[in-house]
Amino acid sequence: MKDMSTSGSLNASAILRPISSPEVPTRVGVRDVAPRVHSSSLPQTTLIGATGVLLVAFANVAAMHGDAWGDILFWSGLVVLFVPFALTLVSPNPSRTERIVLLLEVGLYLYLVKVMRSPVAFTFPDEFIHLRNLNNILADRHLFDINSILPATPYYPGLEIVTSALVNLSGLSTFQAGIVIIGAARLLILLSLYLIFEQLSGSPRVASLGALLYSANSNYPFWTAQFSYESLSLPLAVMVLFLLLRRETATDRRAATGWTVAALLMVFAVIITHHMTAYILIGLLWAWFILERVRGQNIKYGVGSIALIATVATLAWLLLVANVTISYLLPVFQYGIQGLLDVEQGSARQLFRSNTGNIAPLWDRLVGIASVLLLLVFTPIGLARILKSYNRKPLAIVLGLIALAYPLLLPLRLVSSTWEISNRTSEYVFIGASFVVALGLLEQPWVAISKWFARQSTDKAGFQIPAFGYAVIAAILFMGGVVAGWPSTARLAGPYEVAVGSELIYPQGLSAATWMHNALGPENRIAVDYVNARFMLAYGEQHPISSTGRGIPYLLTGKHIDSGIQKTIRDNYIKYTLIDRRVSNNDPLMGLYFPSRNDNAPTEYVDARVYQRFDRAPQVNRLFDSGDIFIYQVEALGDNSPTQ
Amino acid sequence: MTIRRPNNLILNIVFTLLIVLVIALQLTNLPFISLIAVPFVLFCPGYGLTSILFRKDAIGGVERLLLSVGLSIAIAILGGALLNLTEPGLAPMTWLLLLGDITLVASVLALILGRARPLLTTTRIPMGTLQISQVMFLGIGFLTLLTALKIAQLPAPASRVEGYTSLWILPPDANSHVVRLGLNSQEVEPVAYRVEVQVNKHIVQQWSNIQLEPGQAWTNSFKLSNTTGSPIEAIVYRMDQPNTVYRRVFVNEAN
Repeated sequence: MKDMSTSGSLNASAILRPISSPEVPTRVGVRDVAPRVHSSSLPQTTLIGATGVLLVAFANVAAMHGDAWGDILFWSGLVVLFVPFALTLVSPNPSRTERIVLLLEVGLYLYLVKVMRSPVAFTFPDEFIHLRNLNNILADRHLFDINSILPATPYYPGLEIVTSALVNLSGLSTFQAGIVIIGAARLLILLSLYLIFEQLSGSPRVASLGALLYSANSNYPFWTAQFSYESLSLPLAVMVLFLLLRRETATDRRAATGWTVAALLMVFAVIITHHMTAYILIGLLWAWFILERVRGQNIKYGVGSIALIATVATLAWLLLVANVTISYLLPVFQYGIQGLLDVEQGSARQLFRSNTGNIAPLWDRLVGIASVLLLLVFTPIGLARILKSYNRKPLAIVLGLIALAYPLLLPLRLVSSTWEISNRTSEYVFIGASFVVALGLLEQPWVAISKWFARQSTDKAGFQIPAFGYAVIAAILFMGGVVAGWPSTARLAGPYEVAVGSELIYPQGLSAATWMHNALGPENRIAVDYVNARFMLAYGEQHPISSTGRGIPYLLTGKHIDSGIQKTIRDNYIKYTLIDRRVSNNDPLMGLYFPSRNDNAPTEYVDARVYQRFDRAPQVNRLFDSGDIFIYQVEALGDNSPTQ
Repeated sequence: MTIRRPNNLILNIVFTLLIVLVIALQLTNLPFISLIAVPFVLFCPGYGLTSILFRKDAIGGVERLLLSVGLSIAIAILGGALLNLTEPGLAPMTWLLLLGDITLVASVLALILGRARPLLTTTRIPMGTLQISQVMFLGIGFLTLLTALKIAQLPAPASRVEGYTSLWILPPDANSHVVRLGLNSQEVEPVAYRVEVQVNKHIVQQWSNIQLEPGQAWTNSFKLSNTTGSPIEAIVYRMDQPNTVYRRVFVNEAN
């Protein structure tokens, strides 16, 4: 195999080489070529990227100190981190191996952005849910315990199983083991995407750029980096796609059997790990199968049998083991479909404004809009490329169809009831969109423009412009994803672990949860708000009830004790309730931290009647008071107390 | 520099036996255990299985890496689901047996099938061609990453947050009539407190000048006499604000 890294220094013809003449032969399964480290930019890129990570670390420190320049440092860090890798990967010079190393490296660095935001404990809302499931498995050594916040999660224990294996055998803490597992999953998805795109396009350059652009999905920096089942299942599902694609090129039955066995093992692992990913994987496999048939190609190893097995196994798991999922997902689907149907009547959502009312800075808004426009420009170009050159490859068409969903889902971001659908699907949509946009970026019209620029330049430095242009576009796409994902106030660390001399102190919610565990024992049913429910679940080992459909919000926020509240207590077998009087606690992402001391903006509190109403009830005990959090024993109010 | 490359499967077997030995001898508190346990869980089983499934030249190194990690995760997930059906469940020893056995059996089988291959596919390690400056870049880059992680783990400064104190009370035991209460300081400075216990609005117990450092706790208990059914209230005052109720908890004994 020819190693393109032998082409030496960057030159215009190399930069402008269209993807129709790929850098490597399309033969697959070739032996990898060792990186030519001496001629590569790997060491320099490594150092510059690491400097970007360091800047992000300083940004987190600045945020914890309440310094305003944390945001500037954060963006500077991301640019310094991302651009050198983008610049190298869009260049035609690096060898295949060097591209892969760089891709995994930038994947690791971007993962560290999330790790450094929560460097000592899991702090994302869903992470608490899986931490509780994991702790249950470690304690009981068996699966399928109860989780009162998200009852379906214990029945999809793939993430917790593999993490428990690591905790049991390594001596790592649950937090450390979780970080390692999700880190491995992040590398898996980048590697799988690279191999899929390379297999389809025959070009390591397209493949590496496509895999890099996957990081432009709005959930990449934080959401899919959290300790949650989808963060593991999605990489496994993408790997299934690669294994089946690779099977098509198997030269004999034995090799095909190997790919089939591997794919089936991964399919079963996906089914046990996450419901929605399994359903989407099945959908992709059937779409792939249908396109195989529609194209009428003579495919030796079709995906129909795998799709069928995956469907049967998923249904079997759903009906025989995880049937609680039906009652969990049905309302989600109903709500989503209703939101789509009512999209015209739905309340308009103000773009760049978070749920808590924070408005994104101008810089955020500009980058966000630019990235959307760039995606809208390059998606049709990439789609045209697929229709022209890859129309005999069913998976390429499937990816094109997925990418087509991106512009279709965009309007949903404008409506309050549907924006989450658009946001939550981005990690799936970008499996296709990243490939299509990479094709679009490197497509002939764009190359023709670059050629024109190259002809105009007279000095050698002029040759760098097109490559730099690619890198800038890739960076804008990536940063647009960051903007669209989380509000600016939630991207950096908050004060979770605070140093007072040699002592460390922690937020009130955590203190309340650990006190409750130690003083009142585990497994009590406690009505509690969204944020404190996470602490109670993971660290208090309680059964927090915070669902919106059971009268709990009224129990927590009502100003009087009436028969409705008594009924809620009775019907839900509530023994305790926790009232947090801080308004800041309504923020699901930042509410668990210490509120920052700010003399110009003192802490806001809810109406005093909300947290004082239980003080006047003779049947209620106030057992805990930390200033902002109160824990009341309220079971007697509901007539379900054994003492009454 | 030319080196003789070890056989991949032999190395996998030796490594697995080593970690089985370390964990079986309960040497898990050794500092390096996590370094070798991670590949034991996330690489070795998949590597062994990949070696059985594919002839040694049928896949490239990158594909082998992907399959090793991906299949190891899948094996752990599916294996864990099976372990759940056993009495001991997902315990350290069952994990050790499951993953160790799969790795050893797969590696030995692959060895018998002639799937052994050198560890690296190239005969030369290009270290000789790496320039000193490039080695320095890589080294400094690695150190920069470690520094970044260390910096990110620094706790937040106390000056930016409001500390707090928790007061708690536990209802009296039905037989002993003992009430327990406690204070836990998460303040950002040392604080002195006064604790007052009232039954039926009458002070029955009092503790003055309780000095707590940040992170320090105070607990106490007292026995009630002839007050069954009466409300008990514990109130805390800071010594520097003696007239302001700082924390308050209560128990209505009717409950």
